[in-house]
Amino acid sequence: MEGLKAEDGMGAPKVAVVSGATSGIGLATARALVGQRFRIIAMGRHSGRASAADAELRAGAEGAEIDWVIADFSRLADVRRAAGDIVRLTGHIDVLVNNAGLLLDQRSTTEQGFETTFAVNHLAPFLLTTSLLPLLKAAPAHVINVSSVGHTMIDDMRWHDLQMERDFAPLAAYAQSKLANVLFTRELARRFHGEGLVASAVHPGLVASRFPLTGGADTRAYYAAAQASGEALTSEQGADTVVWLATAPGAALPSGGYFAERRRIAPSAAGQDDDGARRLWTISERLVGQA
Amino acid sequence: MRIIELGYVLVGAPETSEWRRYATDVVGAMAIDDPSGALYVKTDMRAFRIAVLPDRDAGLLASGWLVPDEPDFFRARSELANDGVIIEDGTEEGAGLRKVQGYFAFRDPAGHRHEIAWGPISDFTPFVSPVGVSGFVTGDMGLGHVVLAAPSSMEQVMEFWTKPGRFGLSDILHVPGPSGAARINFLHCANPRQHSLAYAGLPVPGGCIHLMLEAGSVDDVGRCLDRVARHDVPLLATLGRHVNDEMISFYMRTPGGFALEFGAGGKRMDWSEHLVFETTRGSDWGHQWRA
Repeated sequence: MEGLKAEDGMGAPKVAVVSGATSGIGLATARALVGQRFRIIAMGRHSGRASAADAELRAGAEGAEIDWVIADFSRLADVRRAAGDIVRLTGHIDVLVNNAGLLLDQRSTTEQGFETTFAVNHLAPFLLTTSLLPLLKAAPAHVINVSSVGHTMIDDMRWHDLQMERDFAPLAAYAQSKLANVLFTRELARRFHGEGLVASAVHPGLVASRFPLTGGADTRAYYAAAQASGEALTSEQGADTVVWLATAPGAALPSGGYFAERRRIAPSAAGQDDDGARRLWTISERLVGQA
Repeated sequence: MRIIELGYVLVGAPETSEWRRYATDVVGAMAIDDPSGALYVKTDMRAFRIAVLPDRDAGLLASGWLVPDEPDFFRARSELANDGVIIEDGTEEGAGLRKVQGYFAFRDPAGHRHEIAWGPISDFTPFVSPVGVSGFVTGDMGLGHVVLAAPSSMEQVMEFWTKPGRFGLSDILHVPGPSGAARINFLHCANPRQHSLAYAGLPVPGGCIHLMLEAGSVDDVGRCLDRVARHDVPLLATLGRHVNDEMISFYMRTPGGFALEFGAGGKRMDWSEHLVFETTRGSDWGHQWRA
């Protein structure tokens, strides 16, 4: 596909929305998709970082079509407004990469009282995706949720304490949010496969990006050790499976799979629980006020 | 219950043809097509040691443990059932596929599927490697070993497996993990192999960390390294020697996503004189992990 223009068959370029696109896996994904002649709607939290990333994406990519939408995923009102901005920019979306995510070293809550990891890593992409459904069905799109093998570090969602008000542990909160990504993918696939929408979850690998910097000391040490030994992946390596899925959607069928290193693999037992997937969707709808 | 050996493993694959090339051209095993669509990988006098089954997801499906005979098989079944383990009884068709007299399946506390079987069926066709491997060390040692991830349930896994007649602890290794040092517990059954099963307290995509096959000589290991380079198979860890089983080995990626440790010179243990030990370094030399 190198050098060919990604088109929708009508001559218009394919449109990819990428969250968390100012650095790391998101920026590497956007760069690769710019190289495949996608039109990019990039999302970031800081306008300064977005400007720097924009310049980087345009360097050596003459005629690149890139728009930026700035949104803080810890504020659901911001996510809703950003979805509105995207609707004004395009009539359809071919690929939505829900990549933005974080890891914290202590419990904090958003303005609406949600635990921040759960809000940013799950509720925000849930709200963004469901707000964009008309555009996603129009293509139909491939929704790629950047999850993590970290979802296996928790046996199941803490259904009676999703905000982890009791026994909060940063890694457990992260694990739960990444399990939520797997379950969200599964339910998204179940609900909309009949309309052609494809949903996939991805484990990108252990990537030496800005990601571990907000985590606890143990996590930072783990990433530092992996980087020192050469085991950590570059952002480009971390983006590889995401870009592969974005450009070869047939590989993701049947919809709802979980991928690592371009292979469809089984998520944890909790990640294969269809009842849990339905339950999380219902709860999430209520939490983001869409019920 | 008396577990004698790791008798077989079942592996899922969207494309069994990928495994055929890998098993014959890289590993140097024999590959035999079954009319059912399964691909049997043969490494000794047994009909097969790895059965690759068409599946949507790539990865390890089950580890098959052999008990001596039918009375032991039923004792194992009632013992596990009495412990409250959910047993999935085998079928005639399933026994035919596994080439055993009987089997049943269950999940360990980490969610991995295991099978207990008795009476392997073989025509005793000798093993002849298509690429000149001198042979694989099986016999009274079983097919090798399997290492699984238990990122959130190590205590339960150890309690489950170390009941009398199941497995004994061989040694403990500490490695860096996302929440501090993670433990790998190496377990042996009623044979001289230093470990037939191990669990690591680390999250690993697909849940299987690696499968080990032991070749007849260190020259087989070197020649396999040459084939790995020739066939562009990702090398995951360089040549090295483990401190516990003293095996000289390297690790490569399989089409199942998990790693295959290909080694030689594994120690034969006399368990009557064994002292469980803990190490903070898994290898005397080598085994540098790569991204």
